Amino acid sequence: MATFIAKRLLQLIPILLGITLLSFALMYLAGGDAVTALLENQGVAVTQEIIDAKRHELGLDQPFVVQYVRWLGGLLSGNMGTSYVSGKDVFATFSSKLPATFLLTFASVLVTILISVPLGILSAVRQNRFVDYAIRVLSFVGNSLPNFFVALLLILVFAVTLRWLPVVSSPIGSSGSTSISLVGIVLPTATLGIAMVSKYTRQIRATVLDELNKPYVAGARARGVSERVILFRHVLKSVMIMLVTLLALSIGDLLGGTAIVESIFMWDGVGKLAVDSITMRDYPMIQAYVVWMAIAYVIVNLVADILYHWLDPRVRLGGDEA
Amino acid sequence: MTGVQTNKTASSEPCERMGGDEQERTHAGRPASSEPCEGQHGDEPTSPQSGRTASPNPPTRRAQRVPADRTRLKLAILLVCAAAILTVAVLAPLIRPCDPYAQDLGNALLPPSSEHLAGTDRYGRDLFSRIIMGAQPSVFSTLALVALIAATGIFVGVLCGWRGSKLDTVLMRTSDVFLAFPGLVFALAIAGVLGGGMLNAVIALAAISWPKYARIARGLTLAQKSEPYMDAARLAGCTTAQLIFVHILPNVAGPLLVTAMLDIGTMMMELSGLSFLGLGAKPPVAEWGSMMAENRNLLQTSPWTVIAPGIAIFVTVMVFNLLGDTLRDWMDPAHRKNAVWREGRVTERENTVPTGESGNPRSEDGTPSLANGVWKHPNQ
Amino acid sequence: MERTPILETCDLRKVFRAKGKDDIVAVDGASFQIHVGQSVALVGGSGCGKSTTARMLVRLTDATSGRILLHGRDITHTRRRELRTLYDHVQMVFQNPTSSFDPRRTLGHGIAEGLLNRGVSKAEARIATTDLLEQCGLDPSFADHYPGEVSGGQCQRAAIARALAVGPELLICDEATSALDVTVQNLVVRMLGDIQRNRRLALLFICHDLALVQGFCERVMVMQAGRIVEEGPTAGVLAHPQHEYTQRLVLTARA
Repeated sequence: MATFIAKRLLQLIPILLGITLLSFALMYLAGGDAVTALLENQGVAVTQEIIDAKRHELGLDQPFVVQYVRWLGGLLSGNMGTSYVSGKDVFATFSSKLPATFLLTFASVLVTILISVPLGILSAVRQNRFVDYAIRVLSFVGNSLPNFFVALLLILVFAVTLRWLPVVSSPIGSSGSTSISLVGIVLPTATLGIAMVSKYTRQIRATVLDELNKPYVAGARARGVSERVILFRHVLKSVMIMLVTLLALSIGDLLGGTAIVESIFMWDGVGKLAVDSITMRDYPMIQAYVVWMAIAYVIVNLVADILYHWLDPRVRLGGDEA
Repeated sequence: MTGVQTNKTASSEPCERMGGDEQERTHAGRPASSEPCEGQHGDEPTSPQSGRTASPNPPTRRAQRVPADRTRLKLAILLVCAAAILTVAVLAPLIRPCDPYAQDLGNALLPPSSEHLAGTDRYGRDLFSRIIMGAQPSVFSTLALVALIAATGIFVGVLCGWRGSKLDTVLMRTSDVFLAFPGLVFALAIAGVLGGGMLNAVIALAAISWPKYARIARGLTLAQKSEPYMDAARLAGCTTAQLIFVHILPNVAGPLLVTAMLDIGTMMMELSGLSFLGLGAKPPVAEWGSMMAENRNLLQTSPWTVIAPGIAIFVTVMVFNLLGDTLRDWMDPAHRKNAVWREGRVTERENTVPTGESGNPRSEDGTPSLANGVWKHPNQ
Repeated sequence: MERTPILETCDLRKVFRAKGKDDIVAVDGASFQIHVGQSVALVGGSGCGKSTTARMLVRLTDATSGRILLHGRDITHTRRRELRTLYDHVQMVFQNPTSSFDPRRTLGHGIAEGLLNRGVSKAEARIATTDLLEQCGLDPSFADHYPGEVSGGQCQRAAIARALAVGPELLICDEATSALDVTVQNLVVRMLGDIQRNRRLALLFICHDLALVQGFCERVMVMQAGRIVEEGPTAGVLAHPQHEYTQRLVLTARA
């Protein structure tokens, strides 16, 4: 087990290299670097000298490879540089936005599991009855609504019309603030949750139906095992395996910060940070984001694989291809 | 062998499940593939008898009869709907009631009425016409995107599955990197490099979405590669090209087609999401996502400006999602012709029983013979 | 009888390398000859290397060492592209009939494929297919059916028709009857016998059942753990088995 984990973590390195190189290259190719964007934003009258001076100051006039290697060197010594935009330390800024994203991730996943598992099982057990059809229709609709549409609809209904909930969840402009109101988390979570619940419910339903049709279940019934035991002891395990698969994919996305949802609700997480950084060509910040994504990806997959092995010992660890 | 074969064994899998690599899993591979199947339990109607038994417990195995006609009917209806949407998109400039770009500030922000079916936006433009025109970029870009992703992914996947070895490892690792890369950010970055616009949004999304198809195609190709009929085809003298195009591709096309169909909805939502963020179509082009974005702050006062394009997206996505689901159900082996056992006509050469003059069976070599349902052994 | 055998193997070996495990020697020095018109049986228990040998003969698997000679020409290492000539002379019938046909193509297509690949026109191929099906005891309408629609025995007969289409001199039957039920087995075996006699076809019949080859094949080779341990005229081998494994096989067949 330990070697397996170590091997997996080692694979982080080539992925990190690949991904950061790729993003660095993209930013470089994008041209019009941070300086221009920065100065334009500040409304400063730019002359070529000012631009050149700033560029030189930030080291942006170096060739691509040099810039990349310098950044890499900085990373290895624990320094991710300073933001081109705010001048603050990248690592500090970035990690201050992470809690918001974590919170939203956690809330969405929790809500999703709590709702989709019972619904999925219910839908399967009452197959083709009214409950099943209702759940299937609802999840189908949920799957077909784009998330920004859902967000806007929720805002329209709950914030505007009914005035139950605030539209904006955290104070605007307080970067680094973690004063996120619990009430304000409802709408973003609901938005993310609706999409996830729809998808998960369908898959769980399919899994349960698959399991219930398997020969061993018929055998168990014939032996007089109660339906409840069959469900909870045997079928639930395969449901959990399916959940692990789905969650691995979802959490990877969620930890990247769902840019659309975060920007609609002004949720101060890393997704919004990423969008802003790209618009502002804030290279170091973008790189930090990319590094974070690579780490999240590797760790989430690692945890998922370990969970698979724990849930189903037939699954061998080290399932990497030959 | 005659009789109607009861279809659908418990876990027949036409679905994406077989797309995953069963033996090997890489980072994104899973024991079940990344899109575990909705399965053949999608919409199967079952035989009425067993469903109505008054048992308090959940019903046990139902009769497996599945009338294929109903799925075909659904498929036909949905194809018609999809065709209708496509027709609207193609004929948009001809069938829209008003000029989608004509501003009429005096009539701005009118709610839906008989004159303006979806109301007007802040510039007085007829929203209904804009929505119809918006079908063009939305629908065509999505279809182009899915086609591009599928083509690229299938090409890479089949190549990897066929060749194996280093090429396989390299390409699969590359696709790993793309999978790890956050989708939206990549799209934003590409948009930053190439500029905005639908074309670049399509390129961006294509660049990160092809790995899924590559994986599925690769898995399917690997599975087919070792089938006996491939050996038989080699013995028949098929070249590599023939083996791939005549034998492998038709056999892997099914699940891939279903995946593509199901992806149309997802991709449409992602594309319109990018437009919503300002990276797709640029105003004044009518595109459903960007229409919603530009009218966003009118949500409170004139909600129809946001809801109408949203509904357009919703309906289109729903039709294609349903189509993909039904297609998958239809391709379940239960419905395919092959699964129906028919009576073959065989000319058996040894069915005649030699008879003697008296009409009784005569045995030449001392073996027992059958007459009137009785086996008679000859006297030794 | 011609002096040069159609197919000859010299010390054929196949070793499978597994990562982290020991190498598996599937075939350990098989040497034999098959002459024109000769029917030879290759018999042995499961996993003794019979199928692997057969696959090497048609180059579906590459030999680790040893030589294969087709009419005296060494074909052990010819490239895939040049193997068309081999397939003109040698054809194979596989164990599982249904999966030896492309499930998305008709049986007729499978049968005609070899001909079409050799430039025969579609019309001619159609006629040939009808002929072949009749020779194999099937109604010509079978050409339009799919593998999944017909029974195993019918499918296997179509497979034989397919193998005969290009007019080979040697037909290798790799456990061709093992997946069929007993009555159909006998039917197919008798049909093969007829065809073999009518066309002077050489036959390499691989199976694990000695009883089946009695009266059907002139010669028999007994294989155990990758080696040929006994061979000779069938009657003789069955009457006086020398090797201990052969003796066991004969005993089982008699029982």
